[in-house]
Amino acid sequence: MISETRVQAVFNGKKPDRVPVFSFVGAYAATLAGIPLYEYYTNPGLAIELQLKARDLFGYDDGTHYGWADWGGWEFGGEIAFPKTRKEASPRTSANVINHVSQVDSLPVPDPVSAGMLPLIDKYNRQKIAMGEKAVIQGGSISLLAAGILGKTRLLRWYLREPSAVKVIYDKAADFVIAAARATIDRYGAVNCSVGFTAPMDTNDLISADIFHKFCFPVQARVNREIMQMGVDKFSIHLCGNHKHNLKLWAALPWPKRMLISLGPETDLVLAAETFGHRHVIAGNVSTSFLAYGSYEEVYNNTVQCIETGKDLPGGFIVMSGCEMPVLAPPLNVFAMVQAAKDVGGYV
Amino acid sequence: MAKDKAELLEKMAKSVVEMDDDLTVELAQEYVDQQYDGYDAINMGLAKGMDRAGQLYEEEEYYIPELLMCSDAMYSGLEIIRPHLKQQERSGKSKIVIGVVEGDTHDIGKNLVKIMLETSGFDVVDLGRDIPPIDFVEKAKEIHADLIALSTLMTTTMDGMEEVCQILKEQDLTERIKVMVGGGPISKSFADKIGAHYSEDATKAVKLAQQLVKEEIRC
Repeated sequence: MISETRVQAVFNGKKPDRVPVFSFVGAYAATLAGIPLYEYYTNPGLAIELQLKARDLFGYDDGTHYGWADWGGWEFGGEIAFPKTRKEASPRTSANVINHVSQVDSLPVPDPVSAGMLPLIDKYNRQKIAMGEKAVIQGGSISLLAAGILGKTRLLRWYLREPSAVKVIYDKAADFVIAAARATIDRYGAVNCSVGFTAPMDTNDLISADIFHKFCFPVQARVNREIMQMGVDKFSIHLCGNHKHNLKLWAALPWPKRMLISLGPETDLVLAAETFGHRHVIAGNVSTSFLAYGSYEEVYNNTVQCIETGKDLPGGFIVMSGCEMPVLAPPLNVFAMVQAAKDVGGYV
Repeated sequence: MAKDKAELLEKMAKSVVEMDDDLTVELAQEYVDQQYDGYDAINMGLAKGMDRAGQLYEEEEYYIPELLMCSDAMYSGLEIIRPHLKQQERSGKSKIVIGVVEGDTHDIGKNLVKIMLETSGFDVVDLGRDIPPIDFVEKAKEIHADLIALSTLMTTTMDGMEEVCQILKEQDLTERIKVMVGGGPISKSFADKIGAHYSEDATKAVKLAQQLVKEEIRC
């Protein structure tokens, strides 16, 4: 099987020749090419080109990715800092928007086409559509945008200190995400769009399930519902970090019948599959710590472990890096994932 | 009616656990007005409260927002108590240099570890975030620190931790200054590999730091 048919088989509920490998290579492709991360992040066409070459090099099965997790701040009027060195890895909000609760009510919802990273995302989308693939919509989580607007520590404090203000910010962030989704769908058509979510700010390493339920859950439900009502049914979500106490809530959000749920190594693959009701394709959760600093054998063995755990999950399984491929990962560690899938991922 | 010392200390600890800044300040002021010992207010009141908050965090009853609120209450009380500490009570503590390694600006974990260390009696010098490896070593030498505590949330900056250990080796300081590491992507195997000591979370970091200072485990 080639990568496309292998992945398609999983999504169609059939057994492919072997477990597919998603490397979650994004900016790592720039490292492989010796190109500064700044160029990668500000040139989506280059990002696609480099990722396709990296895929040919390693033989993994996923497509291209673009964007970064730390968003919301730039879009709402803050500042972004693109990485100057490989250590910095990805763009980050360098100046948040809200410093005092009195600023919250007057915070304007930004333009859903021109704000922050959206023009870059649209360049990426134009090329993806030209390649016959889907345009991407950034679906959340809304907590990410709230953290960009407020700053992470302030958001964590304000959950308890200024809950009403946080709710206003979440509502505005949700309005923005819905408006940006609508603009993308108007341009490319719902059938040509997919929605991606990542949720590092909602991890139980930071917050309780109660806080997730109180703040993120209601607005994320609204966002998901509205995007689905616009006709998009291709969703993927990356639950970054430990989400064991949030899983039931995530599962209770409005989702399409089938989607990709990828997990970090802190969240159990089987527990997630069971909680979501075995309807969805589960992907994960090779340790990025091993990928960045472990040996070939450590990555290989960890990948084998993931495959043995997930291979026969009823909804389908893809072995995947537990988060975006670390830009300092030794190339052979990426290859170790592919080799492990070839060695032990076969379906009889 | 004036409360006795034990009652005030217990109430202060409780007000920290319950994240009540105003009450903590009120109790600390009453404590100071009674001219009770300042060091006990920290150890048996404010720090005890923070310690209980740490236990609740370990038991997954409290999360980071709750710990931040507890620390706000604790620091509010500390502001009242601090001017009343006798000089000798403020010296002779083990010293720790703490910071987030170069390339990373995520500092929630580092701040929590700092709070827990301070409340446990360590003298903590916080270098902040995005700190070059050599700066940790230079500061540790300057203040005669016992420990360097390094934090990162990113895999790309983990090598900065290794560099700190390497510089200490090159300068023959590993006998004097120990290194502890923590953060999302950090594992015990990584810490072992670079010759540092691993802590899984903020409360365990305190226990590790106490152990390192006491048992003289070397980087």
